[in-house]
Amino acid sequence: MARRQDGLDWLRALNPVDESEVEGPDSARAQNLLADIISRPREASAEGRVGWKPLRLALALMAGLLITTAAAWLWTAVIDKPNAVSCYQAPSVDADIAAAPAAGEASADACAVVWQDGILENSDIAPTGSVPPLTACIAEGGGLAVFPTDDTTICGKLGLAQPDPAGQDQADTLRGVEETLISYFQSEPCIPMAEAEVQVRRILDGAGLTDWRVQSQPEHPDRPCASHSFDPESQTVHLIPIPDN
Amino acid sequence: MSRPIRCPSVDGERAAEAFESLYRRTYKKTLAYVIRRTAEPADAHDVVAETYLIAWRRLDEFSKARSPQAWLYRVARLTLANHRRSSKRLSSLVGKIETQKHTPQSPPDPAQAAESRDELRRMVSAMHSLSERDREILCLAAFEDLDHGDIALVLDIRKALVRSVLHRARKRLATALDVDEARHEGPSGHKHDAGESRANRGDGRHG
Repeated sequence: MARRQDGLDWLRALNPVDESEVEGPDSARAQNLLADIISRPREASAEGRVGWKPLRLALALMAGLLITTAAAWLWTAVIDKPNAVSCYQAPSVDADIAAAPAAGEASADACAVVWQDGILENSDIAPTGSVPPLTACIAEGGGLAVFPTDDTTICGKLGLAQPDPAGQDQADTLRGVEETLISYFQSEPCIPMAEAEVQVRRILDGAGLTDWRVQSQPEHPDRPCASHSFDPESQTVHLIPIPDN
Repeated sequence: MSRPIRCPSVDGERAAEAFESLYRRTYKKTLAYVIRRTAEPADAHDVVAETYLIAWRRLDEFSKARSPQAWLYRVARLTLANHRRSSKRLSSLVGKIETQKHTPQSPPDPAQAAESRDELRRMVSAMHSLSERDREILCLAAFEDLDHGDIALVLDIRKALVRSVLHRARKRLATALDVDEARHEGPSGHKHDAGESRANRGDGRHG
């Protein structure tokens, strides 16, 4: 067989979808989708939250200053974004970062798979493919920053807060709710939108998330079933109509 | 936990125009990306709809992204992962490549057809042996033809890491292809049937 020299070229030749045969934005379906989307109200944008960044940065810097002048200084912070887990290649905020898989827990363990897969490697700390000791701190943005070290004082040394156990509880609550929602939507081949809205509200309320919203997209006659999207940032569960297959 | 209502930075009409422009520029590639990773066209269109709905909600972020197309791939990737958790219908990308076995794309010459089938089988086998992350970065480079900066955006890793991660993935793919070739060729270089290959596993491996 005439072997291609590079596996990537070989893979490229096996592209399962010819883009030229895919329908374009002028197709009826694409136009309907566009009209449907832009008819919806937009929600608070991510940019709206950017205003907190300078404040957080300033607070982090002030806290960092305090730490350098008082070695025993220690503080904690809650996990605002349990889905944002950054895995660092070295015990430094300047080290390379890889994101933990979205399905991972909001704890230092979420980064284990990133080290196991060799996405991150640092031969000074652990052999490639093995998981070093991992320690979690609270990143500036409110997620977790996980460093490859067993130094329990690393957060303070880097000017970061340690995870507050209360914040961990909240993160666990959100993960639990997401798991419950996934189980619920897997329980039946087709859950009607109205039924899903009631049940999702019940699940959120049952977990104490009474201020979360359940936002349903308009139903279509050919899309009677509900799918969902879980968004901790906007504290919303979106219900999306899908076909009954 | 309630959050204050904030005004969007782009007003309604301008937002719709900006979104439509980006939608038109990116729709085809986004749909192709999702179709490559789903089993059913209906699933693909659901994922695309959800992806663009998120883009609409985060238009400020979407429109200011270094590459709006790569930003969409990232959202679509997360949406696909979310759907996979709640649906068994979505196929893996490797499965999608494998389905080519059943499509009438083979050349008419039987020998050539057999060779094509063998190439496909080897690639599918090699890809199956890789991690999900390796497969994704290889496919982003091969099918979506993204540069390192865009791959970093899609996979949410630093650009400086992409080169080494992609390099290692390519090496692992090459190794897997070599191992598979060694399994299916004897010391003389001739192909063996499956029984012989199993008996000779580990022999004649190419360096």
